[in-house]
Amino acid sequence: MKAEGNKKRVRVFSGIADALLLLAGCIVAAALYAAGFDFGQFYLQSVEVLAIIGLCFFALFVVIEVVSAIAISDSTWHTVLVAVALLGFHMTGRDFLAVMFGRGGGLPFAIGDILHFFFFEGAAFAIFLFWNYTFSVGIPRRVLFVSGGWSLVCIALYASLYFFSLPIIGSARFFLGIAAAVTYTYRRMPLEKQTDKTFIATEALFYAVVGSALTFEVCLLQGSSAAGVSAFHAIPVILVFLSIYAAFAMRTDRAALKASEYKLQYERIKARALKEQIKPHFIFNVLAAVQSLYRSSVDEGDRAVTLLARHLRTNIEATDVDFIPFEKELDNVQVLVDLENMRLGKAFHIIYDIDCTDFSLPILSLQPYIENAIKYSRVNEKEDGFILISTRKEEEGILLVVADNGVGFDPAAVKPTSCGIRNSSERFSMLMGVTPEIQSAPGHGTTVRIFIKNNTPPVSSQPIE
Amino acid sequence: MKIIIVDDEITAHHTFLSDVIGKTDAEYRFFKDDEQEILDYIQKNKVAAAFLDISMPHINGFDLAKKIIAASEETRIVFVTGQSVKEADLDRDVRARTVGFLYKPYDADELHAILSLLEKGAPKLTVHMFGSFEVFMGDSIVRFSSNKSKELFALLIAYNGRSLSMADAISQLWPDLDVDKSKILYRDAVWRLRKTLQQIDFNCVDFARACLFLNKEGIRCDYWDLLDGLPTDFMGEFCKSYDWGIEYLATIEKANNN
Repeated sequence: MKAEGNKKRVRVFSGIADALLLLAGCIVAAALYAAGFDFGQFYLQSVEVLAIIGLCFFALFVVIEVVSAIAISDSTWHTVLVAVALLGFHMTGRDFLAVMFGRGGGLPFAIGDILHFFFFEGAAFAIFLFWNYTFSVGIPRRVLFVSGGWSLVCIALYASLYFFSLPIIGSARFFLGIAAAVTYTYRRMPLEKQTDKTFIATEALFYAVVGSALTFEVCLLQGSSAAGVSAFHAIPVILVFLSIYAAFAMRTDRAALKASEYKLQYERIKARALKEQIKPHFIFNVLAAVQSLYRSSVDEGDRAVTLLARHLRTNIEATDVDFIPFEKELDNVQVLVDLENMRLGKAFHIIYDIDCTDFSLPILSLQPYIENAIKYSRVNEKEDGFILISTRKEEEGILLVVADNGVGFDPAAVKPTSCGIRNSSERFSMLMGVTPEIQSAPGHGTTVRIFIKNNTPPVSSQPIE
Repeated sequence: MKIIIVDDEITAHHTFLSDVIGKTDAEYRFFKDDEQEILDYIQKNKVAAAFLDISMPHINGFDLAKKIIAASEETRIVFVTGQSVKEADLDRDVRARTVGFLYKPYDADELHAILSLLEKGAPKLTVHMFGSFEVFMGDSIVRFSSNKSKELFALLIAYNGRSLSMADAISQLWPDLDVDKSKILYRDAVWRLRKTLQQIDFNCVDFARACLFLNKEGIRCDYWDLLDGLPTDFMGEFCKSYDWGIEYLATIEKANNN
């Protein structure tokens, strides 16, 4: 609860910061004015110097983004798009145009203003795409097309109305679109994603750019030359962009290292599980059994081959997936037991006491416990011997039990865990944070209890990005 | 019914398939992955189904399926594969015509099921209650994975559409056991029944919590026929290995005399 309250506070603060960034350029200009700064030639010249410095930064960002998109697999073309759009946005701002064409008006400024608007829409849309990609917001393609199309409509409208001195009508529409896009994105994001450092920084970037465009439009509407707006607005945009790098670097340093280590370890454990699962001696024993079954009955032989094929298929499929629905794992267990029963004279009897099946578990994680019971419990030699698999829904989660009433063992005397079991419990704890408990005593059978708490994730194999 | 089987390694499966399909009425022909030859044959003949291997050197099964669908309106598709393929991997047109998937090595029962599905449409469940209790899917007998799950299904059929509560089932199937133990065995029987029905792809039971409902659609049962006044071959025995069967005899005799 406390953590959530904290996150909500972070949201509020970042919202306030966004509002300030929205007005940042105006605040600077107003502050200069209030300080009695002379709005003369000197002001215009310093604005132009500022615009050129801004250009250098934006060009640098583009270079960095392009290089990292090529060199670092973790980086994407989304950020390249953002950087390019920002560069264009800045280069078509009135202050930079003044560097090129001098203060005044005419066609270059008209074209520049329209392009300025074009790049603004581009930057907004690129950030929108970036969010969708990086935070897996899962915005449907349909929505992306609509918002992209909307941007194009706004640009066209803006351009066509520009010469009637009515650009404000054209631009009013884009604010509507942006409000819709941002609201839409928020509503699809859980709170913890909303407080992600990269998200907050890019969101700030978004508002800084919107503020610049908004202020510019207001200036144009009032007939002012808007001198200084784009130059001053470039400062917060640059600062925010740098902070994105900072956030990214901090995240990459710690998390990426941990994630790659984790992934490597997990892959190693899983590879071992698979290797152990496809036991050559087991396969050959089964094949030998199949051979003799065919001598007695072709139908029985066919059935055995089908079972073996199913068993192998599961094991081969396991290379591609980490989790499997419980019910499917039970099917796999049944195949294994059928194979064993076919091979061994005395059948093992499984009792399914299944109360719920709506959960997943690491693939091939249940089989080792069953195999162990088959190997050591000797329940098939007992009159009422059984292996029980039960699931029970409890208030705080699901209790999965594998028990047998066989000979049991003394956990202190023997090394209690076979490779398969150790591997299974390693994967349970890595993927689900669950520890299987094994209880056994000579003469009292063995019980394995696995408690899966509510909301335990079937997470992907890379929980940290 | 004509079917074709397309596989580049057909010689390897020839004997097995001939043996299994030979037992049915289907007329079959093998093809290697020669696209032109297959399409020619399809256009000249009424082919009910094409069994297609997926990975073949000259053409892959999915592409071939598309061409077959374009060439013939009635031909249905069965994919045969070594790896696992899901319905979701197919595009919409192909999916609409696909009857099923067969995994190599072939399972004779599954092959039979698909052939009879092609020939007779969705199969019906036939239940014999007079004499010993047996269940048939199409022509083949349904194998239950435990005796108690079979008995549970028999009881459900005898209930004739009424819901069967856990307490009722336990009192009739495990009259002598203590409650906790019998509950576990009841759940085991329910689970196994569910798996058996899943295996024959005939999900006629609604497994609610502590209660079972039977959907009678698509099931033929001699006992129900008798209750409906239809002629049956009742010989005085009803579910003879089940203790609770005796209680039904009086009702049956009465209905039989009417």
